[in-house]
Amino acid sequence: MSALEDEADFVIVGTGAGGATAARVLSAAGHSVVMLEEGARLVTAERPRDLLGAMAQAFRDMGTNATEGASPLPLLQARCVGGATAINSGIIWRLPDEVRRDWSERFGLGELVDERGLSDAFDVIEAELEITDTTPGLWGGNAALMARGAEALGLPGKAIARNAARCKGSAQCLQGCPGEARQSMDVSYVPRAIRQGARLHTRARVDRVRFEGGRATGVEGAVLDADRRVVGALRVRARRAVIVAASAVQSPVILRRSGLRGAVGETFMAHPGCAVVGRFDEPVGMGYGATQAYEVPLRERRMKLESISLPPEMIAARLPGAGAAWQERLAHLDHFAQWAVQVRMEAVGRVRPAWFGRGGEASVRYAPTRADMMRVREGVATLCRMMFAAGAREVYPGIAGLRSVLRDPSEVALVEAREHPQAHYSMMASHLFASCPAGADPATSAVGPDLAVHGVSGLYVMDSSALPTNLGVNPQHSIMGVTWRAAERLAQREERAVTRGVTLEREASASMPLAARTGAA
Amino acid sequence: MTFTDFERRWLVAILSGFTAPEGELTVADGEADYLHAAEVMASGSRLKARVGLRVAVWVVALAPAWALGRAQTLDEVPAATRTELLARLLEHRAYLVRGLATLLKLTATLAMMRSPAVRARSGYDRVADAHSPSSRRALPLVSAHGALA
Repeated sequence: MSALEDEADFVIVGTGAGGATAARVLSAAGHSVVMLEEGARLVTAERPRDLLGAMAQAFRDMGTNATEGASPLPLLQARCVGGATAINSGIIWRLPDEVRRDWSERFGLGELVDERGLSDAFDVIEAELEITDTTPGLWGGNAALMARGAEALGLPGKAIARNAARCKGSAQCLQGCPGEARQSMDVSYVPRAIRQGARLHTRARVDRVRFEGGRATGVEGAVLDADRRVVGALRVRARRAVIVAASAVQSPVILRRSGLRGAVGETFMAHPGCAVVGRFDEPVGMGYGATQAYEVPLRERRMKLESISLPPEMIAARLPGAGAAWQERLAHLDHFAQWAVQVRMEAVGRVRPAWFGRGGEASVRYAPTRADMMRVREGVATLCRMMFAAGAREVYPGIAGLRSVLRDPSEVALVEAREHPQAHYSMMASHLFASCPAGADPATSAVGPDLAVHGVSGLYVMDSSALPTNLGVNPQHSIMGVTWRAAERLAQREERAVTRGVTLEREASASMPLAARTGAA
Repeated sequence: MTFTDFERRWLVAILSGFTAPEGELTVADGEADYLHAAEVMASGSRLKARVGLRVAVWVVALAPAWALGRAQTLDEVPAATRTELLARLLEHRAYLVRGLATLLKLTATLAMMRSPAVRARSGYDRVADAHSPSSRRALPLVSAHGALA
């Protein structure tokens, strides 16, 4: 058995957008930080390029996590250093202002998401992660066709902003950017935090938080081998605080396993979506261009349409049928485009630890409302129309019980002719939120405006679970911005506590502007 | 999770059965390692999904009996019948059957596209290859609205 014992000022559980940002800020402020990651640290050159290998290495449970119930909704999550940022398309959106105002007014988060403070944090992150709009030369055929379809229908499309300024258009975000152009956390804030003195332990699964006298003093869990078998015990002591940043599914599981209740895991929100595929006479070439390069944000309709180029395994599985007709399509995989709709659903679910299964498994209940499903239908119909407007000769709406191939724009009416239950769509969700919502009222929130867990001290949640609602846009940047604000303020408070009665040198450091000490100036 | 010998036989019959022996893109014997894909899927999945994969194998392998009324398993029916039956299961009105068949189809494509030869025949990389540095000079570059020009 190989036990892991360590100690630091701050113990951070998870290395995704939240955990890595917290580590980056706190280590820059001079605190000792230990990062614990359940997955492995992936070496770019060794990451498999085939989807089977990529899923086995980086996806949580091969992408088989799903909600409970008669119509399970797959929940796509990563399990590796960098978390979801290591498999996503690096899409960057600032927290929409109406969401920011809603959080201020309804949840009392005005100070956390103060307009100026948050904007400053976004500015720094955008500079450090090289955020830029995807240039047309990198759109590839998939996005270029989507632009054509959007323009034809008068929809407000635009190039997607991403953290991949040096993108070469290899369309392999899901398998890991081969040139490390995408500034996912595993190639940006995690190594930066390590350079600033933080330590990283991988294959280190945290099962619960330890408390002494109402204060979080560390975490316990298991050390795993490459096959995820337990090979030792994990025990890491936190001198100042434990920061849980293990995702909107795993964070509430860890907290509930630690005995915390209240609003922990009582809510869960998402942006489920589904895709439409179109066949074109001209070559499209999903294998070239940014994985996601063009989007049509329709915020007032609570949906966003995006181009999404996926590996051939997924496109092949998505094409209808089996046998000769399917094989004919398979022989022309360079002629297909795929676009998706993501819906800002109003449904609210809940998260619990699973009764059985390997450590860390969760049970998520979540059922889209009828209004949500109407929006999915509207999104699919819009995508079908865009496909035809862009020149598709066949469109596959992907709705069971409906004609699998549409060959004329007039047939899109079939999509809208009746309601389709969730089980008839091939939906999935990768943007997950609000399972430990932040708020001023402990009766309705799990963490306070400083992201500290209500009712205990020394315990914080800094990931998408702390966001009190879903956003309607890709969440990575909002998670990083909110975490930056919370971690910066935590560093300030702890700095003040340390400097009280300590050395003059330390006091002088504390009087410096925080931005300078965090390297953000 | 370890599959039994007969489950492994069923798995190969099911996963290879999505493609017919004749067709525009065929997969030759040994070109795709279907068992490897199924075993990786099973071993990496959460408990429910592992159970689901096993249930999928049984439901689909026994489909000739419950869908066609034949006292045979899927590996015992002619290849054309197998492919036709799989196509029917993919559009089955019962969500469970449809979902399990789709899970197996994804497993099949994970195995198929892992083969460089099959992937090359699919043409997926044709446009990307055209943009490789060696051929870039000879071909038009992608532009915003003329990617395909």
